[in-house]
Amino acid sequence: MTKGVYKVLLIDQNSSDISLFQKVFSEIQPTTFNFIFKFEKNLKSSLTYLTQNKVDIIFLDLIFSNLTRLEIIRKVREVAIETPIIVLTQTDDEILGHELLQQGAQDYLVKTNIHSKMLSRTILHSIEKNRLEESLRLQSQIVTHMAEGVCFIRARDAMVVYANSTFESMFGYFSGELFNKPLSILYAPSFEKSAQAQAQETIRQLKKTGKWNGEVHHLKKDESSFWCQANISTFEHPEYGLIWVGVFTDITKRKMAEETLIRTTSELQAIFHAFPDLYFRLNEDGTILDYHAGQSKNLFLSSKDFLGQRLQDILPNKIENQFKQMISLAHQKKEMGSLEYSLNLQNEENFFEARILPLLKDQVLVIVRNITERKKLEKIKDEFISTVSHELRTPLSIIKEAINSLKDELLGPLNTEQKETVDIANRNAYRLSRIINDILDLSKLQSGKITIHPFAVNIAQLLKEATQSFQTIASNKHIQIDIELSEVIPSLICDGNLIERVLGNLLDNAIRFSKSHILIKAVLIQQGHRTLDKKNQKSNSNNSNFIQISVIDDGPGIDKKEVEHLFEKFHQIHRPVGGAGYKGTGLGLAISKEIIELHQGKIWVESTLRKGSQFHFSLPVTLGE
Amino acid sequence: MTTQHFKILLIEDEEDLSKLLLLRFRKAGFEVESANNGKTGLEKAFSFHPDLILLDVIMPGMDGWQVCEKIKRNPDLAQTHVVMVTAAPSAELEEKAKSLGADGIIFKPFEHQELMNLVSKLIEKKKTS
Repeated sequence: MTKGVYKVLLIDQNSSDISLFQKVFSEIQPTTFNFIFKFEKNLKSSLTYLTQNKVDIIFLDLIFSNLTRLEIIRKVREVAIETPIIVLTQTDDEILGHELLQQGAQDYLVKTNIHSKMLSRTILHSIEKNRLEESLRLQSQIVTHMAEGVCFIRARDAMVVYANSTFESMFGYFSGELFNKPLSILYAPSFEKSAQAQAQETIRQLKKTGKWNGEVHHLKKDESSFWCQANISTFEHPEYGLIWVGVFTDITKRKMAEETLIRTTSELQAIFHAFPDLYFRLNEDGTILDYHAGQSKNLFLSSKDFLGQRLQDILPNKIENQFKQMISLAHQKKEMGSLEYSLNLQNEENFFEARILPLLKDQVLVIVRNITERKKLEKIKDEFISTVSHELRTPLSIIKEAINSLKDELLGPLNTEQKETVDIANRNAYRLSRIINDILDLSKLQSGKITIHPFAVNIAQLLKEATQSFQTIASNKHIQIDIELSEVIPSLICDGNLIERVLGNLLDNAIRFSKSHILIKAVLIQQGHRTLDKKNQKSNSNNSNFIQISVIDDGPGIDKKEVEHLFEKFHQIHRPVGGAGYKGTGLGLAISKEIIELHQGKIWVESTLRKGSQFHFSLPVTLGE
Repeated sequence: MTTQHFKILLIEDEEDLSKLLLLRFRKAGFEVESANNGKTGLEKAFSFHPDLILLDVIMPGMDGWQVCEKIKRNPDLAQTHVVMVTAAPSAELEEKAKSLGADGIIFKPFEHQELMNLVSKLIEKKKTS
């Protein structure tokens, strides 16, 4: 519709009516409004016209043969749903006029009373009225279909008089079911307040201020409850008088997320508080963004001394570099890294363990624990072990020397029983010295006091040499030892002496438990294709080839329960009845594990009861830095 | 192995061990003397002129390291083989023994055969030098 230009259609059989209208329109000042006037004498053709054209107003005469007034209005309304219809009547009959309005006409005019001024006023009035009605209809539709729940509550008795479909489904009611239900049925009773009391409270506030908004725990028809954000305001309704209009949004999910967040946050805070650790959040260049200390006594610096500072400002250069390496490694590998360092604080050497976890956006979480006490204890333990084993050595060597003097018959010949007794003493002195050596070695390995001296080792030779020293004892027990090598085995960069010791430990065990056969196998495992990530490729490409060495026996196998503890200190497998001639120290596997891990390798066991055990270890072909 | 005219001096504060080693070496045909501290040991070295000294590291008073240094620095004794005996097996001690000019180191509790092998090796060395 162009503003100021209105298309008018007259549907009338009567020629005199038409000329009257034409006359009246010609008298209307074209400057104020422009009317495009068209008439149709035939009802049918006008209906066709209306289906194809849009007009702004229809004047309709109701005198058409064989149709009632109602039928005529309905037919026109069908093809011009939104267009105002003004009916022309012969007489000014109020009862008839009212009836026509009810049947869908916007207005009526008495033919005898038509003149230009009145006609244009009627046209404009009808168009405006129709427009208002249209927008009301639209608004009502919007309310009905809004994503928010809307309801009207009659203030007089606090009854629901309207609820849109969203509101109904939100509360689980059928369409129209809430009409004339009290407001209070929508509230979920809480421990402190009944539904009625809650509704009364809201009503009191609405009466006082005309408004209410907040979060409410509501009740559905099925008595389940949910959380709503409600905004209620007061309006005057033509039919119901004063009403409260509420707009409701379901916030159950948000509320639940909030509750979970609050709960987990408070749990985390409790945990933070209980742990002695310090937590720092750093960005990629090592600036401390945030910290958390469960107990402030754990902090050596006050927060203002390190917040916003960079690691290089608060840590010695060497440690800061280690941190930087670990941080970039943590980001690259997307996994936690850890680092131990010591700082001289308050004239005392303090040891710390930092665990570094990658976070989003290139940030890291650094968890720092003061491990000074632990280190002190470890030191005491190491010193104790070393002192004790040293102190044991001298008397043991004297015992051995004394036994050997007897054994070698330096003091005169021995009879058979004497010889056997001396042998027993000798065997156990030997065993004791092995235990002492193993304890000391394990302690050194665990405290990091043994450094490896890597050199290129020929695997075939290594296996051969390790086997040679066991050949005699194996053949005494009628055990055959075979060595099997896969096609090409590169030399291995490792500490040959330590790796030979591992092999020795495994062979020693195998010989003790084997029935008749031991197989030693070495294979090359290429895993170069495993990494796809470009970032990781760099760090892994050198290390992705492994040599796996296996010692396979045909002994009784190891129970699953024992396998877990096999690499722990002093763990001895239950030996078969009538089994091995000498016991182990219970430290061989623990030592082997330390040695292999020092080489960045892995050691593990596969075992089947009554079939035998396979001890494997794998080592990177080239050692990483 | 020819043991005749090969003289061994034991400097060892553990007298039980000295006694057993004395017995063993004598039975094996060596000429053996012993001392139970560094000072007497050093004096005996000058008077006895041994071919080999088995020298305990940890002793009251002058310890084995000091004795070794003195022996190796003295032109009269420098040719004497010195084998250090200690209860603390470690690579550092091996290094230290080497740097002080000792000809070997053996760790307690040693296997009897281990000691005898070392001794006969040094006899061979002495012969060829």
